[in-house]
Amino acid sequence: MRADDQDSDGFHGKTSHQRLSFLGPEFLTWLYFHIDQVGGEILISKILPKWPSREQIMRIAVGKRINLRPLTAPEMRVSIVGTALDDSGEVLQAIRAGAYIDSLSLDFVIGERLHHVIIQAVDGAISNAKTEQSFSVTDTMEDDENLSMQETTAESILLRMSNLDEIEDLLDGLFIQFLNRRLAHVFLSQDIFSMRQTVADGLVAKLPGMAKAAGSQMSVDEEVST
Amino acid sequence: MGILSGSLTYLRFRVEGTAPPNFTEIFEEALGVRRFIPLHPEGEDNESFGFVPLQKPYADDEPILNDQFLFGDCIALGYREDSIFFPKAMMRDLVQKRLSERQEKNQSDRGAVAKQAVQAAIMSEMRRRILPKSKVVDCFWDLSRNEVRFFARGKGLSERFVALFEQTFQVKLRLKTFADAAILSNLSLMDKGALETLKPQEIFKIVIRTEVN
Repeated sequence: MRADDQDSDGFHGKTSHQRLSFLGPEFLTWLYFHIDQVGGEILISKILPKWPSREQIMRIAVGKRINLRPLTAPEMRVSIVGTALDDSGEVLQAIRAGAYIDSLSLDFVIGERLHHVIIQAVDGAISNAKTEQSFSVTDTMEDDENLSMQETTAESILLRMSNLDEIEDLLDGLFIQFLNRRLAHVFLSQDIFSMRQTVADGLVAKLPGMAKAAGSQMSVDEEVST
Repeated sequence: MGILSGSLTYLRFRVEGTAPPNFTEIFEEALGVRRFIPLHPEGEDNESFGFVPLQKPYADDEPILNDQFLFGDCIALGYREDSIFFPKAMMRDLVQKRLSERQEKNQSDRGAVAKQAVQAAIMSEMRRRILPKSKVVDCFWDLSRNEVRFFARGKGLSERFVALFEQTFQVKLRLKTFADAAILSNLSLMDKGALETLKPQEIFKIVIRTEVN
């Protein structure tokens, strides 16, 4: 966020961007549970009606790194690195303690393309993006000796950037899906309830000692929110 | 921080404004003005920044021509920052030493003016001996999507880049956060109203653990 960012939408007090900054962490937290809920498979046309590629299914999985922190206490940061974070007791425990996901590592597979990215909630940045094709840029260009260095560079840049376009389009589509739910009653009645249930069930399964606490606290929270 | 190889870390910017119809000529001219100029050993500036060709960021004598920054519907450039840094403690000791030497030679060099002159002389000598710290960050402007990717995340660095980009291309850059995406999304009037009053939704209450002795 830049210092000279102006509130162009008529919101009062803080700029609208600052006021809505919680949407980033809320989105990544929702996405973490959503991936589990849909079994890691998303029908692309559902989130992007004008999707140009022929592949219609996107496989998505949580990667090896997650950072979490509460919205109101950013200094209480938790970093979790490891495999199988989509089913991690530590992640659930941090969420249970009031944290939201601050950065989320994701793997996307669309057809033969595999993309790995880390999404940052605060500034919307994409970090450590790695894209893999079933062919390399240099392989496809080796045969064509007529290509100048400039043309080779252009091909390479445009191919890498088109991979980033694809990642951004899918992420933007997922965010809009989240936003539409977030602004509807269904978010409170279904999504929040489902997240709490997943945390409670997950903690019971992972940490038997937490069973009582997780269950009892959940019912208290439900009472508060209703 | 390369656009051409390795993993990619970047900030997304939305461009407010569009490129003029004859942008190839206008941008070439604009980049000539905002091209990176290296720090001169005899000069006084301690930092310099500007645009450089993507493939030859250190070919300081070459102009940035169309074929070096235009790739189809896209513009790809390097943003270079060079700086010379004089450690404070080192400067203090060197100035002190030089002042003592001059006093031994019975040169009456006391006071702030003399100290400043000695400091300037030392800095000038050191500038000839040390290489500036240099950083090149790639940027990519997709004219069809009207978005810019800046391949770094540092706050100060990105702010300086945004200021230079806006001056050069006469457009505004806005950081594309999730909040920005929400505000600009095609929401119904009712949803826009809901967005205006939207507050954070608690999943669980924050648990703060304190140790009791």
